[in-house]
Amino acid sequence: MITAERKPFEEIKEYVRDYKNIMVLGCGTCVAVCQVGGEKEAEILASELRLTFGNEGKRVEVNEETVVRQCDDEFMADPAFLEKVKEADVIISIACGVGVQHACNFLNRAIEGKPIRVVPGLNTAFMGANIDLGLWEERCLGCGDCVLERTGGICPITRCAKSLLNGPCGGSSGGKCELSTDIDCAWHLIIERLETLGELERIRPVEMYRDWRPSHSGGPRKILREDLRL
Amino acid sequence: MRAQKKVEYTKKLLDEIGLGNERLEFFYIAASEAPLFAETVRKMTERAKNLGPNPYRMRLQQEGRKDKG
Repeated sequence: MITAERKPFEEIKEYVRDYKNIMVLGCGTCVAVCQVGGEKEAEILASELRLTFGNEGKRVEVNEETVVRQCDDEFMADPAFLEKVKEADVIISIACGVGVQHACNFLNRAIEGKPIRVVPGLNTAFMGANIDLGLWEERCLGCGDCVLERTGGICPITRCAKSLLNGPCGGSSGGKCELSTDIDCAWHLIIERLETLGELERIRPVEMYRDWRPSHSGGPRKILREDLRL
Repeated sequence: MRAQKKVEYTKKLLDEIGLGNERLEFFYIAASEAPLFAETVRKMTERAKNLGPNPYRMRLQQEGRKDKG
């Protein structure tokens, strides 16, 4: 899933200080699962804003809404929701960066005559897995050319700090990366896994180079599925 | 203990919004420790009195407004 962390409250507060009608917009998918941007978190942030501005004697209306996914038109097009958006001076989107941008674009297309201001409430972190209670770790960089078949299901692009195609490097020590003893050496893990599978031969041939064009190095990417289009 | 961590998180929220974390506290008291329970409640009540009512609620009451908080 896409993981995120909430921005410091003071930062969010300053974004919306000048507005009277504020909407906190939650997103019910990835950021709800990592408990930072779902319905509950939207309610908490809205309450915090009401209380803090109330304490300052500032009269504001703060409402909260949550849609299933802010990155999908389908879940944003509800007329009742759009009516509420029209009332807001500013929307704090607590979705990932994709959701914030899509909400901003969609709402400005869907609502005529009033520019819709959308600000982020989260810092988007990475595509990761829920490893333990309250712990997420990065597992995929979206490089566009998956090598997991060769590397025993462990991604060297993401999990090796140097994204080495042939490893480990000289900085690997005791199974840990030279950056930190908190970081496992991805290539150490890969070799252990391939040994267990009896497939160490897979990484014997040296990977000479890689075509990075499918990654972000080729600019913003698109996927077009003609079979899904009307 | 998870409940204690939740309380610590909520105390941080109270600080963020300017109400102050001292309005909330977590104590370990066994069922057999009645005197300790009574003493803790007394201390907490004293602390609440010293802090006074939530200023936001007071302001709303003065203005005759209600809020979902």
